[in-house]
Parts: sequence; C-alpha cells; structure tokens
Amino acid sequence: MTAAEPHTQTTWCVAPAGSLLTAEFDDQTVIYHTGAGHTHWVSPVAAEVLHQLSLNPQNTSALYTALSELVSQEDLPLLADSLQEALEHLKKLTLIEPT
Amino acid sequence: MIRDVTRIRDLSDQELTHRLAQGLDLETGPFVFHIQSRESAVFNGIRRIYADFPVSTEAVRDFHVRVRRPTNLRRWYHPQVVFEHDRQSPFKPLPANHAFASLEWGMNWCIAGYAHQYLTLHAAVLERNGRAVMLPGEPGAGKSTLTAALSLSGWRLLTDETALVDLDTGELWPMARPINLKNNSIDIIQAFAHDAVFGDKAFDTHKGTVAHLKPSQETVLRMHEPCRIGWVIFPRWQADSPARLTRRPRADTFVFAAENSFNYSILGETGFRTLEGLIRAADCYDFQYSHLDEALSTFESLSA
Repeated sequence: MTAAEPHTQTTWCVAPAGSLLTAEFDDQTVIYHTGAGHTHWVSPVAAEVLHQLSLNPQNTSALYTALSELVSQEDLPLLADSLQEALEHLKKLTLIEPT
Repeated sequence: MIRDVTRIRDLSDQELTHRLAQGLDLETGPFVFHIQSRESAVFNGIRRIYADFPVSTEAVRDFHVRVRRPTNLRRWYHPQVVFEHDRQSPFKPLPANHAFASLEWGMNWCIAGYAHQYLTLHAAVLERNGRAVMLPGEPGAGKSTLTAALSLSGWRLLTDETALVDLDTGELWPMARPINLKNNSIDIIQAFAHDAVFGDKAFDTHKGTVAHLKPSQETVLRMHEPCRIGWVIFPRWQADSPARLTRRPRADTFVFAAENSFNYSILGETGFRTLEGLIRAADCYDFQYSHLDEALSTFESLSA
C-alpha cells in the first residue's frame, strides 16, 4: 500500500435491511434502497463501491485494490481520497455500514 | 361504435342543479368523480369550466366527494364550506366563496392519495406532435403560467398538477382538468389570451387569489389518449432573462421527480423502474425565461 492509499482496515457491507436497485444515466448512478425507501444520486466511485460490497463485505484496502484496476494510472493518485469520500457519503446515507 | 355522450353543456340549469344535489358523475380522464354539492360556486364552476366534460354512465365511480355547509353556528355569521371524500373531511372548512376551489383542491387530493395504479408526479404535462413535455418545478417557478400559455397556443393539456405515468407502458395519461392560476398569473394569462375562459376568482385563499382556466375542447375530447414522454423541463421565470434551455443531468432529474412524487415510495421497486424508464426516454432541461412569447418560440422549436 502506498502513502496515498487508505490505511483503515474497517470492513464494510451493504445495509442489510432491503436491497439496492440502481439506474445508470451516462456516468451518474441513482440508487434506491428498498429497505428505507430512499433514492440517492451517487458518484461513479460510490456506485462501484456499492457494487463491490454487494458481491461480499470488504475492507477499505480490498476496495482500493479492486477500484484501482478500474481507473487509469493518471487518476490513481486521486483514488484514495475519492474512495474515502465515497465511503463516508454512503455511510451517511446508511447504504453501507461497518461489519 | 360512436358513444352517445351527454356533456355538462347538454344539461339544463335545472338538470345540473338536480344532478349536483343527488350526485353528478363527472368523467375526467381515467377517473369518475361522484360530486355532490348545493353550493352556487360549485354549480357555476362546473357549468362554465367543465362544460365540455362527459357525464359518466359507468356504474363504478372512483371518488365520492361532496362540498357542503358544515353544521356549526359559524355558518350564520361567516358561511363556510367543507370538502368531504367518502364522508370524511380531510381539510378545515373554508369560506363559502371558495367552494369551487375547495372542490378542485379536494379532487387533486383524492388523485394524489389514492391513484396508485399510476406513478403520480407533481408536474404539468402537455403534448405536441405525439410527444409529451413534463414540467415539474418548485412552487412559484412559473409552471402554471407557462402551462396555461402553452395550452392556449396549440399544445394539448394533459394535466396542470399531477402527471399520471402508466406502470406498464410508461405512457402519460391525461386528466384534462382545469389549470389553477394564482395571483398575477391570472392577469398575465387574461392579457395573453382575451378569449380564455376563467371561473370566478376566489380571493384570500391560502394561495392568494385563485382562478381556474377552462381546458380546450380538444383537450377534453382527447382525454383518453395517453402519449410518450419527450422532454422533462424545469421552468423558472427570471426577470429580464432571455429564454434559455440548458441540459440537466438525468440522475438529478430522477431524484427531483422521486422527491416530488405522491406515491413513488408506496410503489417501491415498481415506482423506481417506472421512473427510470420515463427519465431514460426524456431529454432533460432547465429552462429560464422572462417573456411568454420567447418561451413559446423555444417550445415551438423543440417540438418541430
């Protein structure tokens, strides 16, 4: 892990009550949480985090590794901050939670 | 087969009074309202604004509504009316001269609260050349004024208040109800179209002065014709602004529409997928304008 990567080992999972439905428009994603009945517009990074966590719970490092394969070398230095921001946003929306 | 239809204009004053006392079955798009009232303001509003509407002969009515005087002593000093749906009063009594406005608000309330066979969105909808434009917007954004002007300029009105989205086909269904104009908008539209037919003004309502604009005959005759979405446009009146359309992200449009739906949450996944289909099929814009003529030209080019 480089200095730019997130250091936390927190393991995240999608909120257990209900499921998540997604609709993608261009590079934007709308998420509907069937449990809460809420609709949110999330960033592409947050949408990918939700996709990864819907496969299985993962810690921040694993998420970083998975997402780093999807971004260009040019954008890689921005990933750690974007990932942290996405995790905080998704947690605030109660779409994900620490296990 | 040609349907033999009796319209409100076919009824004599005596017949209309009698039907309103017993219950008038009024067809407005996919809904049949059973309306009871002895109020003269209701009689006048129905007579003038709903003249072209059919009297339903269907055995099933969707909503039973009534506008009547409450039975309290206040009626002797300050006559009031109360709107009822299924004999329940969802609102506080209003001054008697607000009776027709009260009926209109009550009818909207019924549709917003119960018409879950559709996805219902708070927006106006009009159609031109087979494609619908949906106009959501915050109160005061100029939505009803623009809707009225478009409806008087060749656009077919589907609704001024509640968009009805078909859950199976994604098409928009008309209601063909009158347009509720408020305050300055009434004068603007009266100046815009001198032959526009309005109901009596209701003064000092919780929305200020309101008056209802009669929908065109074509709007009423085609009130069972749904159509496909073409555009979602958020109008905003802005002093001295040239008419300007700017692209709006679909995701943002989706979230706004969901938050301004009456039953999106009730419908759950069906609501989400229906709204997704609607937004995906639409071009979405913000629209700023200050002059109606310029606004109409912009919409004209859009629909060409």
